[in-house]
Amino acid sequence: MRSKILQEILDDTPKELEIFTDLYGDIVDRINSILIEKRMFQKDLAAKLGKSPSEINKWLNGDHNFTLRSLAKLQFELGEIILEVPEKRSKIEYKKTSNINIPSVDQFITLSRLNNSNVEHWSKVNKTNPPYGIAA
Amino acid sequence: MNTFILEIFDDTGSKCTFYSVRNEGELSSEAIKFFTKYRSVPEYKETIQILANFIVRVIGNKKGAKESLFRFENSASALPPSGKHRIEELIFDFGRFPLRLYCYRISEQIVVLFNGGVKTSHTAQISDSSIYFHEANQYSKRIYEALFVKKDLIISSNGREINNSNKEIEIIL
Repeated sequence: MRSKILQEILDDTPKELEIFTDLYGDIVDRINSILIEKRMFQKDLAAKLGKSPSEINKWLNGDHNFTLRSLAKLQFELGEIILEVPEKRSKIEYKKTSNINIPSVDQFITLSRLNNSNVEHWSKVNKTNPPYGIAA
Repeated sequence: MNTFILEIFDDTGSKCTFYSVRNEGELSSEAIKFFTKYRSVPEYKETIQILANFIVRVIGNKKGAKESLFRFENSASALPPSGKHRIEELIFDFGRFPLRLYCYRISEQIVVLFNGGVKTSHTAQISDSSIYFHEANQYSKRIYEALFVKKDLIISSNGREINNSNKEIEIIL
């Protein structure tokens, strides 16, 4: 069950806002997961980046627009991939997806590396159909 | 505080169920009031769309209610929560996102959404909604007590539902 107002708002949402929201969630979750895995606190990251802890707090929880530059800096200092662009040209056919499973960034990257003949591989690995149609 | 009803706001996601609270005698829950209010303001139309998608797609269907997606509401200095039923905000902090929605994150699989408002200053908490913060504390305190102290309510074995002894859809507290 979903409240009517929530469904109406979802139905009105432009596709690019959905994608933006997904990317934001993936990036924030990815960065925080890396910090947890590496047992790093925000103050440790601040020291690495030469920033104040309050500034890093803004980066991770505050009023900060991620830029390519800031993501690159984070990726370098954390030593982990935060964002990866597929090398091959891929076309993703977006469908209305309010009730389907949405791929994570990792899955997305994996998906982008697959070609059409490997869609079956995706289904086997993830035990679902690929959420988005994909053509190499 | 008067009696209120704990009801489902969205349980269609694969990771998290969202509840809200509806005051007895009222037609709309607090979350519905929040979304209805800001959806009708042209300035916040896009903001409310992002927030709705963040709730449904990112938390509800993909990540669950991970701690990193919420922020502890530290204006609690004016009204200290017990720490056991602390109020959090849903955070979507990109480009000085102006709206904040108060919630009680019971687990990564269950969140109760309340009302919220606009964060109008860089340092202040939500300036137009201190009353909603106060109410959120009261609602969550009662929910916490019913769940974990009096144990009138239980969380289902799959972790996705709150039930009373009669398994009624509307839970009156």
